Amino acid sequence: MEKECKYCHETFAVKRIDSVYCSRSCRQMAYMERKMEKIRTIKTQVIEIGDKLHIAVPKLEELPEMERQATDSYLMIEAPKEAELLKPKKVEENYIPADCAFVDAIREQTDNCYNQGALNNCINIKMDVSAYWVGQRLRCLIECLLVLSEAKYAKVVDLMEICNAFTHITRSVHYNSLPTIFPYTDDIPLLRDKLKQVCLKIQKIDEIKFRLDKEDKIQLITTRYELAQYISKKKFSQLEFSYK
Amino acid sequence: MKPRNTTEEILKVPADVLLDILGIIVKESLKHEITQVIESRSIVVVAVFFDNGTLKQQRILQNIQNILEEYREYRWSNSEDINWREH
Repeated sequence: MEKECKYCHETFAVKRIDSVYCSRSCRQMAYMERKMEKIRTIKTQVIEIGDKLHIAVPKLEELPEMERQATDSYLMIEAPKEAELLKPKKVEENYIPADCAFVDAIREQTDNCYNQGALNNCINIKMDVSAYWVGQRLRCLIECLLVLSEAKYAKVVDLMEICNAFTHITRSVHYNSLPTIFPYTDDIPLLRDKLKQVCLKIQKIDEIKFRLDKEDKIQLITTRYELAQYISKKKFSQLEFSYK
Repeated sequence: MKPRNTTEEILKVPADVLLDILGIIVKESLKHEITQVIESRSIVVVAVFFDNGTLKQQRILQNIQNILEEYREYRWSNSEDINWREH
């Protein structure tokens, strides 16, 4: 049986199955090489002693007795100030960034590109006037609802005004001629109805704490964000909602 | 009062992400103080004290700022007016 010598790479006839080297000299040379490798890997270190930095250089003559304490094997030289840069940094504890469920939910919804693709098709490619008209008003009303839901109190008349604006949109010529791919056609009457229910409950009160539940708010923020990519912002006071 | 060897970061945290942000602050045992509650905008102002030069705390701050930045991007993106008629 033949093997390749691990040191000289010559082929040799093995006497024992676990033979690695072809001769004693190759075994010795391999040992010397491993020893030199060990010496080469002992690096110069920068060590802090008291308030001064020192460069620790390995004492080569002591290396054969490496079992000694590491500090005994090094020659200590006081280091210049620049050595501060070489000082080993403290090992920091790992930190895994935490997630935020609310932001993650919005990101997940906006990552679904269907709505943005449909909006792009309606507004940028087909340049559909109705889609732009409705989209601009929807964006504005969503912004209003979000602001009112974050205010301390909302006036009931303001909510009613927004509810009326939704009604005007659904009755408009533009809403009724929206392209089929417009992604928010069904959302507008849904929002109107939800708001209408709130308004009917609170007719005799001036102000309420108007709050959206988490799912509704995530949905509204997502829709606002998607619309904002294609439709410029216009203020409520600048928009006409009743278009016959 | 600001503890020694710390940097104070003032964070305006919207109510929507308040629990998540406070969760990070409490879990990582960061010194903090709620300095203001802006009721008109559902925002809580939190002062957080970070140890100077601690890489882990810098990462925590970065994590919190990333969440707040991303939220702001989705929620506001150039519409900071709180008068609803001006929206």
